[in-house]
Amino acid sequence: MTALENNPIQRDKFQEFYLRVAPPLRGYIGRVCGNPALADDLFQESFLKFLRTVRWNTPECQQRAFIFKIAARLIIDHIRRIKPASLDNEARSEVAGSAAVARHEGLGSDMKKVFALLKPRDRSLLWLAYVEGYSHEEIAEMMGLNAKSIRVLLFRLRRSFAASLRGKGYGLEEQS
Amino acid sequence: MKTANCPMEDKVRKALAAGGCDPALRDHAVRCPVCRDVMAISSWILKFRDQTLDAMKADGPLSVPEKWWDLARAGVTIDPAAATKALRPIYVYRKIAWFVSVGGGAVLAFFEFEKIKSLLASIPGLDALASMLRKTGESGGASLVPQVGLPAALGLAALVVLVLVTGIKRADAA
Repeated sequence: MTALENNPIQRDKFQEFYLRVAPPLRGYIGRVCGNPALADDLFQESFLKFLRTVRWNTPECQQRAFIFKIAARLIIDHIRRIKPASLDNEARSEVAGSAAVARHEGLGSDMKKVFALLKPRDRSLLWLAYVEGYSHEEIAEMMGLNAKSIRVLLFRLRRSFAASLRGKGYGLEEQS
Repeated sequence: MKTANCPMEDKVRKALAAGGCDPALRDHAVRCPVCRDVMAISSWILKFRDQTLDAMKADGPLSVPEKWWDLARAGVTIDPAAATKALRPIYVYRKIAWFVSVGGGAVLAFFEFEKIKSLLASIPGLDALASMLRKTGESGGASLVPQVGLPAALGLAALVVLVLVTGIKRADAA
């Protein structure tokens, strides 16, 4: 049973799925792209592609992984075609002058700066692993890489990201 | 490169992303240096996620799901057979135009042959070229120069004209 028949049950199912998945997906695309207009386009394209290809008889967790895979691939395709967002340079210049701030207060802006220092692929990896909680194998499938590469990439990212957070005054020890 | 990984890392990340670890997993995470880092990074990133989602909610509401449903349906409900049927008049008129042009050209060449012949003869150098080609044909290709050199020169000239024309078009586009 593939998309997309004029079926009220499928329509209702999609509405429920959308309400649950759209906000985190928008967050993911927005943070990885760093460009709100582009993020909106990719968000829209992700849902349209999803609706045209989804199998409605699969479990919701698979459908969720599927739409994240679509979004991840769209972002990768976009990065291949066009250079990453100019936001990076802006944020890099801010990073150089910023000092460690009081915890929690500047978390949003500090995280944005730390994220902006990463390559879009790395932002994507971090988000899929730590926010969405996908396994190495699932991320590998989404990004079109092999699981071993994801393991190594995430290990490096974990180290560098932890160092960046410590550098900004976000202690890792007290979080646990 | 040596990497420090823990077999429980995936489970810890998944549990934290879902809302929290069970006591046994948390106990492991506290003792394992890899999972301790994972737990700490997760905690900060999840706070960042919450802030991101709040900011996005404040920036503007999400579109309603019906919008995507209707858009996607509009995209897939284009029936290829109906599209072919709708475009058929265009294809038919294109074919008619082709036949009319070819037929018209043939009729014109047949009835106005002498005029066309004299027009071509008035083009400077063309009669010399025609006589050279005729001679080559009559001599049966005794010499290699007219056999190879002439078509090569004509080809080269055509290439130069082509390059010039496309260059002019590109310059216009720029």
